[in-house]
Amino acid sequence: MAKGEPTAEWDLWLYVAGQTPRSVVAFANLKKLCEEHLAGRYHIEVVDLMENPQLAKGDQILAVPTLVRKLPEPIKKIIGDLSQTERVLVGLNLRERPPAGE
Amino acid sequence: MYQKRNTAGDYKGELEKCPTGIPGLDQITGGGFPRGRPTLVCGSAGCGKTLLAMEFIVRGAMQYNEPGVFMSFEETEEELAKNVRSLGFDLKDLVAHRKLAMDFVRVERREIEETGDYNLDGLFVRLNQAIETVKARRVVLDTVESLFSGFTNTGILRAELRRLFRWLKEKGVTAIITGEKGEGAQLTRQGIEEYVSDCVIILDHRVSDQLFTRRLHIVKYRGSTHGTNEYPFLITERGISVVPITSVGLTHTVSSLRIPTKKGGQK
Repeated sequence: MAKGEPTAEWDLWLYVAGQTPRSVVAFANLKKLCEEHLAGRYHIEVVDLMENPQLAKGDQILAVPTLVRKLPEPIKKIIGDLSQTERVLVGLNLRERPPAGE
Repeated sequence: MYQKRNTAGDYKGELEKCPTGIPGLDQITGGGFPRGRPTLVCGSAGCGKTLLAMEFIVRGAMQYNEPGVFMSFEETEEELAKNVRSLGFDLKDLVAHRKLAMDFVRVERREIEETGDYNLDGLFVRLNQAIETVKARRVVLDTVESLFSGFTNTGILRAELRRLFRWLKEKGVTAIITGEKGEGAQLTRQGIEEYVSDCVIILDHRVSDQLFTRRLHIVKYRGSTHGTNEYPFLITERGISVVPITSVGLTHTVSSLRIPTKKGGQK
């Protein structure tokens, strides 16, 4: 457990562009998933590119919403409204990738 | 009265043109590319697309005081700067003087997990940011089709590209979109000529009888007359030069001076 540590074990950044229905859904999906699988070990940072457009360049953001796993390394990117939970879990390496031939 | 007309498009009532400053090209396009609209420049690898686009931006900033944005999907800012330094273009200086903004967009090759619905607002935000920083009048997207290697959902991608080109028009910027030569009847790999319909230019290079020739062909130019031939062009130490024979204007003044020749007669 990460109790007392200054930074959470899982550092997740969610890039959105304005408070669109899609970004709200993405955040809700992310929050739910984190509570189920990473309770107490995560930190979510929401970055609104409408307010901070210069931040899009740093993490090479093109699609919105994009979830960037900053920690644990290596950096992983997941795009979309995060509605396909299984794929999000695979993307975050919380699940083994299903055998090829989807 | 007699009017001097040494370019193909000094006609009244045509749409406004945006000069490229490239020798010869402005003659055969009747003054340049359609202002405020996107132009597609396509051709195979090594045909000079990126250079033409870069010259359009650099000459725009230096000769016509129109700042530009160069968004590259293939080469980094440093690589681009290095490539054109030999032509006397100092990109860093232009950036420092806020006449040029460059943004390298790295498209990850399908490393990204796609989970549900998304759009490309991140790209729009970046382009908008670049346009606003230099108050750009010209924009280059080189080569926007690279996006297709990074996203699996081509349905979303096509809809977003359509939206992007419409958005560029609304912004009123004159844009060059480059595209890699496609198979068969398609001009570009992903058929983006479908979305950029105002002006289409094909660059080509071939070797015949051991002679290497680059050629430029205006396939389409909506609302404007233009040269319809395939024009040979050169990449010289000063950039691209399209020198069609029609651009050699007969502009010498005729002398009316009488000069006695002293031939015959007088004794």
